[in-house]
Amino acid sequence: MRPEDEIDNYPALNFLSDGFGGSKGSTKLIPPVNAIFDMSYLFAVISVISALGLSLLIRPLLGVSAPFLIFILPITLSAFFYGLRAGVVATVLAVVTFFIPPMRVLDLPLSEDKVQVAIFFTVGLVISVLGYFHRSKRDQLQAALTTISSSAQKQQLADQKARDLETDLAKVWRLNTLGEMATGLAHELSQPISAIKNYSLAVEKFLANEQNPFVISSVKGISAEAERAANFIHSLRSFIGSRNSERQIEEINAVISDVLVLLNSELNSKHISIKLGLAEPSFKVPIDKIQMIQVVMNLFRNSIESMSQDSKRPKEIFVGTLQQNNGVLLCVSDTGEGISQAESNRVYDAFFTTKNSGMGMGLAISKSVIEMHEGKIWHVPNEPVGTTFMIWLPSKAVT
Amino acid sequence: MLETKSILVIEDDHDIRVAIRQSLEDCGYYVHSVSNGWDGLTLLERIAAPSLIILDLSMPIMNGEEFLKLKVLNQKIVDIPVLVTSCHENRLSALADYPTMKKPIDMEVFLKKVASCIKV
Repeated sequence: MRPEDEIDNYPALNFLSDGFGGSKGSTKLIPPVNAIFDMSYLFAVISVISALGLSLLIRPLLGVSAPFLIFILPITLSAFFYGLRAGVVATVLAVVTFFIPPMRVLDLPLSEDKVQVAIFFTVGLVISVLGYFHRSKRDQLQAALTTISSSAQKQQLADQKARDLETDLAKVWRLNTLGEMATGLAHELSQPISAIKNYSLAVEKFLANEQNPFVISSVKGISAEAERAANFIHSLRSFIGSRNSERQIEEINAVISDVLVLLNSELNSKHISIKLGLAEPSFKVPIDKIQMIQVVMNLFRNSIESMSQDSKRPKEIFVGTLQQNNGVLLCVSDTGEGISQAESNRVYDAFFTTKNSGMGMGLAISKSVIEMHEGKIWHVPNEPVGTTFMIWLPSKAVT
Repeated sequence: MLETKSILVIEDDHDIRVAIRQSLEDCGYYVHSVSNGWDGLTLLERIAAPSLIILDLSMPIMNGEEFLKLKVLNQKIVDIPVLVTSCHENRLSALADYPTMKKPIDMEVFLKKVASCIKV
């Protein structure tokens, strides 16, 4: 917010700096000029006409002085409600009314009128001026009240925002701690894992004469799994550390099958079926495979969680690839709860989450990863239920 | 002999899909049919461009609107005419650029519309 905007929100400050009747700020203190003209004239005219009617009515009761007394009323009221201008208009109208029929006909000789007219003008002007000052004070007060209530509201909003930021900060801090712990863990684990790998390779050599094929395959399995663990640790370390993203031409189907392998047991235990629509042979795209696995994994995790509630609906995740415009389209579609219209625009915001345990970082990170790859991520409702996430990646790296 | 025109039907409701397919085949068209927008895009990658696409809107995985958005971006299929069918009137009226057909489909009117779409 610019400083000027800030000041614009405080009419009372404008009033103080511009002075009453100033050109810019004062428009907020008193109604616009047009409105004053209309209302003040209207009020003055109507009140004088009413006074005329009233004076004609009660004249038989009060005698000759009735008009004078009654006509003070519209002047006072006009000045009180609409200030100097209305007061003057009412005064003039009241005076004019004195000289035209039927008042003139019913009233006193002309010499006595002059005295009354003079009194009219004096009283009218005095009341009008008093009314003007009263009015300006009232406006100031009202403006000050408005300012106070709006700044109270602002204060409340600011407090709320501060609380939200505090919560977010706590999350970041937890994430950071987690990251540090993971770094330590990765470091500690990498040593024993490489030892396992080396030992198992050694055992493989020692068992060169072994006849039982099961023993050989088991030992090979150990080294393969140790290798996989080492790779995972390596990718974890590089993911945590702020490394440069390493893009290589990779098969997009391999990314998906890696994710499916990692999530296999979870998908089975939750009775979620997978429908594949992968183009064969796989499209090759320049990607950082580890990051892309994280992105696809995150989409799958969201899908799994969105389908964890209702057991009546068929639980299905469709994953497919397709060529589109010098790039690859990747689709992950579920039959979960779906994303409401209101949440739709916010799902990529950091810290936006609908889960109790979620950090609200998954899609935010995914989006930044995809954008780093010059790609796009978006979603559409899956009908009748669920959400479809789409990712588009260029097949040639943009330099 | 006249060249057989092919039509791609993208419709998730099995009964409607079969009915449309049958009527079109009776009129001498060659018909491909799939059950959602994603499968439609996949098939369009593999087959020669059809003369017309008949598209439903409310479909799983990829709905009709999303299909149209992606079709417009794809140079290979952008020029294929599309006849959009749906029972959601508001969704049809939002697609001003395409000829539309409100469901339930009156087959006679539908076939006339198909013929006119292909001619254009």
